[in-house]
Amino acid sequence: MNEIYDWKDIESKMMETKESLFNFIYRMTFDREVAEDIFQETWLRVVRNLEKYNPAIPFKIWLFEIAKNICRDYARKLERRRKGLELLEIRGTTSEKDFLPQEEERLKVCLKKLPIKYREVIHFRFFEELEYEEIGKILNIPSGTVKSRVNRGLKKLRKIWRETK
Amino acid sequence: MNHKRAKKILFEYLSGTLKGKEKSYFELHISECKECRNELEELKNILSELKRKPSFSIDGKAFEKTRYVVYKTLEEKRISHEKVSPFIVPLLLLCFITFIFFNFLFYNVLLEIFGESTLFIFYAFLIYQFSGIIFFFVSLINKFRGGLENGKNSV
Repeated sequence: MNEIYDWKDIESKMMETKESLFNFIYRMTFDREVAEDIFQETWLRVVRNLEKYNPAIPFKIWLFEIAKNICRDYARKLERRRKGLELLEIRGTTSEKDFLPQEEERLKVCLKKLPIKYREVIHFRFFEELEYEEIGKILNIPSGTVKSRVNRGLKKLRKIWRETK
Repeated sequence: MNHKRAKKILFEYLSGTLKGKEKSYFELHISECKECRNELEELKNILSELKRKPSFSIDGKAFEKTRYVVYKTLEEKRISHEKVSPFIVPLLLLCFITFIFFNFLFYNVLLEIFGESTLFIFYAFLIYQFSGIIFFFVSLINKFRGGLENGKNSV
């Protein structure tokens, strides 16, 4: 992004990344309306902070870092209202219009129960197929920590998977 | 390879980071241990579910709304930037002239009233001013760029 106020540049980046960004946000929140709000907020923060963008870092990494921060803020807010909201989610009364095949629904339920720090690394590793170093840049952690989080995340996911049988 | 070790490195084997002799020992253990084999199969099933990548698309209207809001924000930012930037150069010029004038005055006052022996005060004050100016510009640069690599300036 050489011309920081270039709308065409930003628009093309929005088109390029919209699917992967929305998928990431959705897998962190599992609420379509919330995901759409966070998607918008992410891009607003990008535009408001264009001067802070360092071109040495790939734009996608910066974008996902912003989205990750907003998702974590949302998860923290949710944690404060956790018990009541979890009950609502299990009963399916949140605004969820997506209907999935049974196994995908099971995976969705399992990912929802996974702590956000494991969900993040599993998403980037298995859905975005990023390398450990790239994931480390997004999350601001060493690649060794990413590897161990992936392993621990999979262990936890397996445990939750067994419990949802 | 013992059972405990094999269970520990199961995930490394699946994620493809296990290499060399340890990988061979693990594969040998798997061929002999039913429990570890079953665990491996279970994990492979989970991973294959993950890899099928169920995908969700953003609603067209929601995306268009975001596009519009982002465009408006960018336009407002560009307009306010254009309003401010013509004043920056004259303002900097004014600051520079004031700086020169003030120091010239200070130098002459010190020289006339207190004599040459007190000129060291002037030089010390000049160094102090330059340090302040350098510090100001370095802080300004750091504010926009310095912490980004370490994520300290994350937004």
